[in-house]
Amino acid sequence: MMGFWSSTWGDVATVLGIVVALCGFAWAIWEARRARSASEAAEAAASETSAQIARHLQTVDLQRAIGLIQRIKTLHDNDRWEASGEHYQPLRETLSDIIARCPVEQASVREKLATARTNVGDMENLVRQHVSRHQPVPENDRSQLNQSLNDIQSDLEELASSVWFGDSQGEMR
Amino acid sequence: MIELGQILSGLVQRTAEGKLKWTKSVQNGRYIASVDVISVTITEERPLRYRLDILDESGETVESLGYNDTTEEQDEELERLYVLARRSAHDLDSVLEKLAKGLELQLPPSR
Repeated sequence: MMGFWSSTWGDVATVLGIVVALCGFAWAIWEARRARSASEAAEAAASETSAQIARHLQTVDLQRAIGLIQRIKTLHDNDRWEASGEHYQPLRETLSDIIARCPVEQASVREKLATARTNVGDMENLVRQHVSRHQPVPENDRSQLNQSLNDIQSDLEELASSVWFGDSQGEMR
Repeated sequence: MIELGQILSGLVQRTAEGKLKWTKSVQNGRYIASVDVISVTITEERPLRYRLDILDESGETVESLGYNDTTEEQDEELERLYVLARRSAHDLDSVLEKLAKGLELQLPPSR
């Protein structure tokens, strides 16, 4: 018996060593998979959280822009042109924030917002021209301003309604 | 380096092809178009004097091409761009088509 062990223990140890190594390898694979799925799950959760925050911020900015437009329209209606002029720059900045959060693949939404922002800059200049000349704003300009503000407001409301419903036009990054 | 003249030619071409949509600004004689978040405006400053402005991602004017900076050929392109932009903003093709239909004019088959 002793003779048998003395001649074969090396082989048995080798086989055992291989079995242990295979078990270790299997365990390492299982651990790696677990770690990878845990890391993927963590990544997915982080990405979803970040998307939720972005959607929340986008909604806040859209509501802010809509509120600013409402305020400007009320000031126009009350002939408070100088006061309305103070709200154009914040409106442009808010539109810039909304554009920055809009995904690159939504080119038509980004283009529409960029055009709206440029038009808001033109509105600001027009109002400032009238204020600096101390002249009443002619009816034609008044109606142009309100029409353009209404158009932008309606686009923003449409965008705001789609942000939380995963609409391809409204989904935000 | 890209020249402003090349941009001007590109704008004329894309607008003529109907691939660039222009919007009327609240300021008379001024039209706006955007390519992604970059906006361009074409303005008639005085009769037959036009200016092209380019606004960056943050909405600031970063480049302009006005009457004093242009060659004769570019002046013609600016005028052509203005005419095309106005046509696009007012959807003139559709207006003329309706008018032609109302007048029972024979339209070319391509239209």
